[in-house]
Amino acid sequence: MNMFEIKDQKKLALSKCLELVLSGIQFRLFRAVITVAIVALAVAFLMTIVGDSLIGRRAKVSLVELTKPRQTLLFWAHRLASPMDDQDISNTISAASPGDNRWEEFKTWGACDDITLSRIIDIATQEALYMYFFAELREGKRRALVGRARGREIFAALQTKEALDNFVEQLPKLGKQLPAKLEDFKRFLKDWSDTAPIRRNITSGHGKALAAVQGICKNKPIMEALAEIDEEMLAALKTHGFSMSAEDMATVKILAVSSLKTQRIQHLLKNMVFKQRFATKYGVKDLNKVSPALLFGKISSRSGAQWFLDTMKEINEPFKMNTAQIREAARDQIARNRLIAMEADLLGSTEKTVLFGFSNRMLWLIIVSLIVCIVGITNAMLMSVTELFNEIATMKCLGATDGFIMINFVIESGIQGFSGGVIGGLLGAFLGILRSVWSYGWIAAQNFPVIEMVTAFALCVAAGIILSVIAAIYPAWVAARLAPMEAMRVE
Amino acid sequence: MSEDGKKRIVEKSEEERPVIIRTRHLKKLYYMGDQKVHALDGVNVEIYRGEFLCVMGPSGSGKSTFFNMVGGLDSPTEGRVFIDEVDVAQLNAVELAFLRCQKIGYIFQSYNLVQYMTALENVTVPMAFAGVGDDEAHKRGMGLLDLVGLKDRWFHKPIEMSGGQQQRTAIARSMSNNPTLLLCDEPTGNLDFKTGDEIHGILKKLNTERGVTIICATHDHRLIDMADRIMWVRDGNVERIAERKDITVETGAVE
Repeated sequence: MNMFEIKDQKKLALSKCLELVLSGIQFRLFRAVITVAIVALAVAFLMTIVGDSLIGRRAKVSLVELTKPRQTLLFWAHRLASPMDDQDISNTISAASPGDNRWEEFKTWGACDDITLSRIIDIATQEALYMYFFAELREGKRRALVGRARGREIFAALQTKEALDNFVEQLPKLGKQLPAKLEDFKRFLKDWSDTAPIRRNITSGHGKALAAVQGICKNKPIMEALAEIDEEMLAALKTHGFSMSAEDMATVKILAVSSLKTQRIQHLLKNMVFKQRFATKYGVKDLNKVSPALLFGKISSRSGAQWFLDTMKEINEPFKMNTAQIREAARDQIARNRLIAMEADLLGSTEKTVLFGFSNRMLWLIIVSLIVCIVGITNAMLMSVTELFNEIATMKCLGATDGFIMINFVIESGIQGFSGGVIGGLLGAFLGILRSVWSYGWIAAQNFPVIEMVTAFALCVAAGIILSVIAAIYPAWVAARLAPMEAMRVE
Repeated sequence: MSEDGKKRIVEKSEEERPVIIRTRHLKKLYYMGDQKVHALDGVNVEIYRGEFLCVMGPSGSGKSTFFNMVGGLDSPTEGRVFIDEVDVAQLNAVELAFLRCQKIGYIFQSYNLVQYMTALENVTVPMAFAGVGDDEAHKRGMGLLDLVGLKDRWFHKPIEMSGGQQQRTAIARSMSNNPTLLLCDEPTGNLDFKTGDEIHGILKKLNTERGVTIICATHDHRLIDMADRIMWVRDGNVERIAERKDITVETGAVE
């Protein structure tokens, strides 16, 4: 008679597991606190970096947006006032593409059609390539190849047959390859000399256009002219090839006016009487320490601006601004300086980003911190398992399967990971925000990436849970493998 | 099993009594450093259904190892253990868990209650493992606590109970899935004389009223006095097995 019928032990429902785990966690609160703290630290680190990077990236984008008008002004001031040499033209030409303003300008100046212009662009690109090749050569070698010629003169020098023959003869002794085949280079030389008249046309056209612009501006400095720019001037510029959009014109005008004002104020620092008075008024002992930044800082206040105007009258400087305008100009300048400083800070960083805006080094740091976290949790859980030897063994005597014991520990760790993730996420977000506001200032506060931050928080909590679960696998396996007879042991 | 049935079994000759545990050349080897230790050295034993067997032996005699083998907690190096003709070595982990849960109850010297659970929760844990519903488990758990006289203390945690109360809770827990076999390892080893007596009473009651087979490792002469048979273990071998009626036991000599 066989009274025993052996079956497979039933699997426990997840809800029952959870119930047992939760009552256990309360009892082992201290151990849980350690694990939670480890997870919280790692997640906080992750979240700080992610948050900082997210806010920083957004700040960068808006900074570029903010500095755009200034860039436009500088661009136009440069374009309307600075003469270009062949080199400049070659450089700018190779950046032009059909349809944009520059393309049209070059067409007007060179009096050529689209096909010719694209040929010139092609040659300009090749030219840059060959010029780089010659620039890299040592002086002696270059002399052997092309004589005394330098830069673009080389291409002119190689137009004669003797020079070219010498070049072809010397080239193999050089030990260095031309960037293209010799035939291509020869063809390029021919094209280069063929298109030289067009390039000359463009240069002279540009020169004439600049002279015309000077006439349009009535020989005023370019900033002053831009401050007074109007529809008429815009049209005049257009006939000479400079096609400025109406939108650009508005931006340029506003900025030029403001720039002129601040220039005017800053110029006063050259006046020693004013400088002396300013130093006396604000208690600056060393005259050299009276900087534009200090001046603008002081006159941006109401009393400062009033003092400034009074002083202007006293020293007989004609100054056609009221206090409000002075303050506005000063504030503009301060904001501009801050932007410039930030630009250097934010855009100056040369580290390449690999993933989510993290640099390689950052990514490495994060991975190491997560591994340390896993090791820490594993250690805490192993200690927990050792402490619970008796209990685990008893449970196994009472009919717990290996799977239950394992799930038990994994769930426990997962819950701890969740709590640690939430705490660490909040802490990290707080620190990240603090850090980015500290380094980027108002620009970070104004452009706070809410949705991205919430997503990052959720991901960090998930990372905490996953981390803890991974870390718990080994200790859980140890616990599950424990022999039930351990329960028989008496301490 | 009824009281009449029990009496009949005792009266029957040895060959006809149903065997619940049979061991064949049971051997267990441990390595302590370079030394081989024969914790069990070829044990052949038959334990009958419904009997109360006391196992005696000095510490290190292999008593505990024998318990682990019989209770399906450890596997032998050589030889076999049959529990009701089922070879324990043939069972996989999940089947072993079923065996421990449903067929065997364990009582430990140090009670081994789960510290963060109340008496009732402790008693119902094995029922949860067996898949018994919460309401049913609650009802049965209270019944078992009533059996050991702790009905009014079901909400107490182990730390709030005396040693005797804890051991009674442990007995209730061991009975939670109506096992046919109860393994007790020094059940009164940590208890005083009077409390020990209460525990003995409960064990005897379970044996006679419910027909549970009890295997009990002990040094307590009063418990040996209650047993049907006594087995002496020494150096990994069964030294002697005797019927209670064949030996003289003096109890309560010192008080």
